[in-house]
Amino acid sequence: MALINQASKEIQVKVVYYGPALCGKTTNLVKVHENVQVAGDKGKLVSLANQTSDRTLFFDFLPIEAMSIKGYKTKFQLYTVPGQVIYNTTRQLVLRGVDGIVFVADSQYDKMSENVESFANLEENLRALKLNIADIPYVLQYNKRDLPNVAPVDYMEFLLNNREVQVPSFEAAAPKCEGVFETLNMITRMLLHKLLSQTSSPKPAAAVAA
Amino acid sequence: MTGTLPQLIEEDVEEIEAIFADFLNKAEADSVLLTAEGGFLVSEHGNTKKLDTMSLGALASNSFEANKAIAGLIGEPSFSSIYQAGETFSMYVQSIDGYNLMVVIFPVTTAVGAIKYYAQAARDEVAKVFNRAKKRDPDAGLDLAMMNMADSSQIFRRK
Repeated sequence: MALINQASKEIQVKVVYYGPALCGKTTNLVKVHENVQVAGDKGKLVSLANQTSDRTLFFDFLPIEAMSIKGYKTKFQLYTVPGQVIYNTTRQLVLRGVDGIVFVADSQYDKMSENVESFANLEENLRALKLNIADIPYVLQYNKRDLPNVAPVDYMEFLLNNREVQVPSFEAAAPKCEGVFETLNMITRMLLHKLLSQTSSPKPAAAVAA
Repeated sequence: MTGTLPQLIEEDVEEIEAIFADFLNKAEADSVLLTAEGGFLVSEHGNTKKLDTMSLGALASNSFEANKAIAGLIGEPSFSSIYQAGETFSMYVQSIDGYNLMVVIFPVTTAVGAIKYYAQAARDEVAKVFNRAKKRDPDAGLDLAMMNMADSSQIFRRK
């Protein structure tokens, strides 16, 4: 649920990177953090990860400010969820208040069932929060395209993007930062357009949750 | 479209400022953040210049939500507050209305009992401001038509 603060001319939006274990969600945030151009201070990437295995325990969090649009500062909060199946309660917590989702799929052939299972889990967790995937802007990222044993994109589209309304999808190799910014820019674009379409009547508000 | 944070006019914002200034003074706390559901930072008060308030607000909010989930596991309807003791500074997080939180940072020399006592009074006052704002105009929208989205393809630029 985006926060629009008219007093400080700020828009805050929450984007969650979702997907199966080891698909590259954290790598996406690391690469955004390393490579993004920012005007002021760059936000810190906070990783609540296992100290020994570096697997995400709770979430990764990256606050990041985008370019101002007509005087409005747009602040994005990027989160990842832990991909491991046992951490479902945590995934539900992180999804609370979500505005947009990047579903990161692992392109390796033997990961297809995990991708499908994870997407079903996403829909289920959204339902538990009384949300519907059809009402939330989301994009798909087919990650790890640089590996040798990847499934064709058409096949992944058939498995994950075979709904009434197809969403934008991107091929990526996150460690090389390929496809990372394309994915992020598309979800932010969709989110801001949705905010614009939802907020139409002029009011003297200082802050509102959209 | 129903928000968890009501529309606040300037008068509300000023009143919240005054409530938290009074709270900081009476409780001898260092700073207080107001956060909304999802970890968004709404406002900050007190000595916040050296704090990464955006990360602090998000982490405190998620920590509070995790504790609510723990409450459910032990059969409690919810924990209404959490307290983390440090060596120099401590943190007290309290729900205002089930969605919005106040995150209080205070030196360990200040008694947590005093923080809790004054925080409850501040919570009630802020909740009154929220209730009044909700009654005033619960379904109002916000005009963002002045935002030009024609050039939104490159919102984030790579180095």
